[in-house]
Amino acid sequence: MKPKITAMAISVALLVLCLSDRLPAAEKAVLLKNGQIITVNSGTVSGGDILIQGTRITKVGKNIPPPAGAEVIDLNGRWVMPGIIDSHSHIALEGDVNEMGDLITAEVDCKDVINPQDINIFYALTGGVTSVHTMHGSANPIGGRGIVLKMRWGKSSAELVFEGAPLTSKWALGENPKQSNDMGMGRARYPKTRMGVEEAIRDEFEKARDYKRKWADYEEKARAAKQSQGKIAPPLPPKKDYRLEGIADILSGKLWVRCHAYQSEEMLSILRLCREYGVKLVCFEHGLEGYRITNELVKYGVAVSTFADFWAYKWEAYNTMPQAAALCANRGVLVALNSDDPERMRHLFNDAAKTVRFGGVTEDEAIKMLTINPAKIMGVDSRVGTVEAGKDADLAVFSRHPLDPFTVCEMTMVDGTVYFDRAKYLEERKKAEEEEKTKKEPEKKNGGEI
Amino acid sequence: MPRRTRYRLFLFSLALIFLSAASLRSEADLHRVWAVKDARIITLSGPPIEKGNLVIRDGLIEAAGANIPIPKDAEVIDGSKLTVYPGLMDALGQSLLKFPEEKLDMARIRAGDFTDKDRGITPGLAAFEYVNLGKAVFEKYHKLGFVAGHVMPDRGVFTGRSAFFCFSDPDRNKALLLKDICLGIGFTPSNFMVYPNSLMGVHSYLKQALSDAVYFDQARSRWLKEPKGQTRPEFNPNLEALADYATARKPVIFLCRNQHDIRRSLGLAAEYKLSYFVADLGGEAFEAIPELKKAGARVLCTVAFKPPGSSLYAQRGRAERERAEKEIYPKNPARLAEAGIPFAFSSLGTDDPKAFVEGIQKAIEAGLDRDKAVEALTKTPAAFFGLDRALGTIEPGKIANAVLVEGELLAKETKVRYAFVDGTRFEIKEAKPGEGEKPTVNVTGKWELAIEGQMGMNLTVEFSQEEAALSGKLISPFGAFDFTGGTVSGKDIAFEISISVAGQDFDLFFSASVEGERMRGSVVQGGAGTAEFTAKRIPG
Amino acid sequence: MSAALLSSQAEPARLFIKNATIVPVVGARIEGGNILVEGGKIKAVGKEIQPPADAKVIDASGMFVYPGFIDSYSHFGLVEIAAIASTSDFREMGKENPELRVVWAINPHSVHFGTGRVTGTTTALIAPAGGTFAGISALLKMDGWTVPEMTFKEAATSFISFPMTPRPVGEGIAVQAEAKEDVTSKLVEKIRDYLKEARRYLELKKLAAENPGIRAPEYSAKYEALGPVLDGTLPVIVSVEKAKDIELAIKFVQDEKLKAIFRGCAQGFKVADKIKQSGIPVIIDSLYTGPSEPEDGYDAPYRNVVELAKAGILVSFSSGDSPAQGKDLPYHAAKAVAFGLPYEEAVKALTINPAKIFGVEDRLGSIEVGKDADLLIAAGDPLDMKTEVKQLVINGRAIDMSNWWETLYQKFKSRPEN
Repeated sequence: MKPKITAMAISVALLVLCLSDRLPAAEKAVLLKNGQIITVNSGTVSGGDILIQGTRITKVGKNIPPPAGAEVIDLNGRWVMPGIIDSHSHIALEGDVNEMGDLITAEVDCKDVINPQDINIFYALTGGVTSVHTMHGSANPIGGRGIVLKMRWGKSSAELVFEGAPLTSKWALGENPKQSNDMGMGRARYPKTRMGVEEAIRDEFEKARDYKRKWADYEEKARAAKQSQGKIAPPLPPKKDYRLEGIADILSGKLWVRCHAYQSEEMLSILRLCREYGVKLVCFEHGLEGYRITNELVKYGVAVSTFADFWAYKWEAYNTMPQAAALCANRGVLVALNSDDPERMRHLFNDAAKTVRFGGVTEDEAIKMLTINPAKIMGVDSRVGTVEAGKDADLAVFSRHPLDPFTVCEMTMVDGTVYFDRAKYLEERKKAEEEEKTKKEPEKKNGGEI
Repeated sequence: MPRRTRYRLFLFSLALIFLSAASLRSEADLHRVWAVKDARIITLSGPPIEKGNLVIRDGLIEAAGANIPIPKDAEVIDGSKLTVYPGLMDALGQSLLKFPEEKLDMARIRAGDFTDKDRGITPGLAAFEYVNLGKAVFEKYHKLGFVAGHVMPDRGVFTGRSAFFCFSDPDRNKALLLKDICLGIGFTPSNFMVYPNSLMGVHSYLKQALSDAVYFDQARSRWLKEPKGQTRPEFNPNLEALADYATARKPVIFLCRNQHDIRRSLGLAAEYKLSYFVADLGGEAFEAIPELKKAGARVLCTVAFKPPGSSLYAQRGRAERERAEKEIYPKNPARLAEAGIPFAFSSLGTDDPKAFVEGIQKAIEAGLDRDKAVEALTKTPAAFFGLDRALGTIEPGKIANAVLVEGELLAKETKVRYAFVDGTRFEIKEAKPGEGEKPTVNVTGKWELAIEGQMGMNLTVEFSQEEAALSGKLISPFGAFDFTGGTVSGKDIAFEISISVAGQDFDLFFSASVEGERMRGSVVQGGAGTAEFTAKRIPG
Repeated sequence: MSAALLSSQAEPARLFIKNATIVPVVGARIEGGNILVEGGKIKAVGKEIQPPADAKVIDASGMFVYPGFIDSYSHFGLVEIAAIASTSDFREMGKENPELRVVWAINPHSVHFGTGRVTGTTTALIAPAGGTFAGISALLKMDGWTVPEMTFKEAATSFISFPMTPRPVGEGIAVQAEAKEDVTSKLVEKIRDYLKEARRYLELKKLAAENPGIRAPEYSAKYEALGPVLDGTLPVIVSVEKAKDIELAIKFVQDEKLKAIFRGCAQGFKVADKIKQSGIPVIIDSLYTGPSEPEDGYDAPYRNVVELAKAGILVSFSSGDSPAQGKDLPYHAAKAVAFGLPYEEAVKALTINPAKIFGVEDRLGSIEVGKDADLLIAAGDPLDMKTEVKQLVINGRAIDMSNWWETLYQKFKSRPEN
């Protein structure tokens, strides 16, 4: 009996949260008033207000008069920042996040396996996270396509997708695609060296170019046949190959390339390969030795999405330090802090605080690593990443400054709808636990009497 | 063997065959005509006949009605306490299939030498070849009212092709209604390090394979029509096996583990313009009713009613899961009926016909109209698989598949007295009551265990049972481990084994229920988790 | 703040830390206070004390001095890189290894000592893992040239890994019902049987010593090692997670008359009163974790600490299985404070509580005269991730704070920019 009520109550609570605020987006207005607003790009507004209409922020300032019918939420001096954006994650995907069967799997797509019922979406909200780039794992030199989701807990897979966000292609270099750490359990799969990893990528690029040439050829012949009005027989099209089409999308720039890499030499080498093939590499994932080559990273214009201090779990993660993120940022590299783990996602704001002590990043810069920086890396900075009029109302409310060690995320809003409210959550839980107690007491009494 | 003895043996066996054939012939000759007198007849092709006669001749229904005369050569059954229904059909099952033993060759696996079977790609695997019919099997089905069933292999990505049988004759050629009807498509990735071994990979692989099959089909027909000037396309047995299905000449059945698979199936069907059925293995088609309705989908409904692992209920803990299993999932068929989505019942997910019927009864308790339930076991499956002119109702000219019951079909107290299948009468005998603590099964012998899920692996167990005491040996990829001290009670067994793998020790606790040649149960590894397993007896 | 002093032969016999805000843990804060350190011990604490002439003075104006933190469970020195087996020595194979001692395997120059202590940890319990009886842990100071030098207590605790009621693994089509058997109790029986054997061994040994006619049993290192556990002289850390299992564990510990310390207790808050009644203290595992079961709530790990402390249970923090994250010890405490643990209680759980739990409160855990001079000098609140701990004092010496991270940082910071 006991867990049933609690769980039911909590699911009711979540359902209530989902169903409330379901007024048509266009008409609904919400005014968050009296908060410390971290705008990210124009300082902090003390005792400020945020007016939200529909799914967008329409005004940020002081003493904003609420429009008629607006819901007013008094922040009581608490801190508000843009909803945290996690640029490297694997949540909300059904099944294995790696297709390990082949080494190049560009045809595979995370969009096909979105699991909207993953409880980690809720956990993300409890940590102030509102948008997440979820993607293929790092088992393959070129893996599948990733996708950006908004944490609209309770909605369907299609409704979770962040509309208009660029699609990504996940590459991986180093120990993971080499399967170095599988302790001999796996089968023998090429490649086993970093040399092989890069060669595998080059090979596939050439195959894709070949494939595109065949199709271009065919299209030309098809046109000619059509114009000949029956004199020339229509040619046979080449066989459609989804994998090579995926590679072609990388070569044409349709997909934003995110490359998992640790060691400085593999990063430099892949940058050279990208230049050679005209591929724009947007961001290195982890890049824990990136601090050694900041000059080169800045020159190429590639960003780094990394950890505050996760290290020494494998050899290629050993030659690094918590100051790495700061050193890169202080030298002009675009740095984002990510989770790569559903548990870490719940306290990314604590991670950001670490960069202040390790490397001397300013508090403002640290907050950028959770907001506008990942937004830029994910190509959604026109919609999220700052608190300003015109952007999506994706906000996180904290009990203290987000970088304060004793802060708690108290409310998370996506597109103007509150998807997590700690006060309501605690209330529901308290009610449910009290109900259980009273249910148990009469049973106890009956048991004792005879 | 000396020549003379061999010749004698040959004559002897010939005699046997002749004799048995003779006896069969006399069986067919002597019991060709039946009349059920004064019974209530539910024809499903019109209003019920409150008191009427049913005449069966030569395997077909000759007549059914209020004033039908009883033919002189008919054997008469008193139907005054009985109701006649069209025989029930299982719209999709796999428990009648029996596949040969296959030992895992670790050397081959380590070398990376994988077969299509390892990848789950077996579109040519025909249910017809592997069906296991026989008296014992028939008895189990007939006593619950089932006289026919659609069977299909269900493992892998392209699982194989189905066949429809009447449960009338152990000879599969005689029992067959249709073969190679549907192709099964599953979303289960391979357990091995071979493509595809993730769900994403399976989805992409399906797209590529369907695209390739259509391409191959077109290339081949083009070449056959006019080979001059064309390079003939390379033969590929898988693509050939897929061709009919990828071009919608024949239907596919999507084996959907949950609502997300249902949506994926509808997407694939729309993109590749397939003819299809949705087999709702997860039992959560109700979550996708608008999409199913829009697509005009036809559903095969299961009745195990356990929330799939991906569902929110399963994630929220045992209490939520149990609540969903009791209150939400059994409503699935009723909700589909309400929404007007055509469905038939499938036994997939249940171990035996008894569990199948119990599941259907649960669905009725949860709100499904009993009549609709009967339809989902008769008319609808017949229509789905193109057999509506031969089966599904009691009409003159149709195959004589009918059941005679005391009470109402699918009710808890129902007793099936007779089953007619292909016009052959089967009388249902009362089973003896259970024994309680004393063992009612003997599991001595070799069994193949398949542990499901992340801990998944295949093991062999050799049991030695003496009364209620169980001992034996477990053979795994990591070595062989003896055990004693297991127990057998009624049809339940329990035993524990300590195994050692790579220097780590594990205690495994097995408990299972035995049903004939199969077991189903759970294994607990102290401290780590529980997994489900099934087991099959290895013959010989 | 001048560069840290290197621990060398020619070190000042006395240290004088001046003008700091002192948080002694027992008693109130002292603003503008001074500490005199001599012979490795705290000699004097107060506002009025003056530095002797030969003392090295550390000007801690504007800074905070706390007792050095005590990490209640770690693998410092037993693993360098988790994925590389040759660098890992904390997990022996087999289920019963109560005689193994970590001091035989610790690498005193592991990179993780240097990096793990940067946030203020001066003492750590270094533990073995694996199987039911993992071995014997040791308490080590986080600085020294050799393991014997660093070892504060060679045999600190033994270990018993209590069986866990498993959750059903839900995979594939349906999540089936849980196994009907009570597997946990069966496994507990196995542990009891093992302890019974050990008792039998010790009894026979005793009898043989007293009676020449009785033959002594063959020597067993394992049963010998369990002797002190069974007579209560060596405490044993029992790791246990679920509420039901905690109740079973309390009964087990009481039946077997062990001096137990619980570790983990993720669902402890559900049976807090029972734990309190039993008097068993609890070591909290790393708080970088989700709830034991989703129904416990997303904040269960933090709520758990708060409720256990509220119930009056003696709790302490630990950094957990990964020495690479060793420095996060005070951050776990901060997380508990964020969710309602009073600040003073959190500081106690990093200092005097673990000292009490391991029976070393006469020497560690607070800034009091006579105790070991293990101190942290921080530029702000040491529970704050943004604070830098400027200097650690261990055994009365201001230690060299250089570490692997600093080395890499300084080197690559000096690379000229574009």
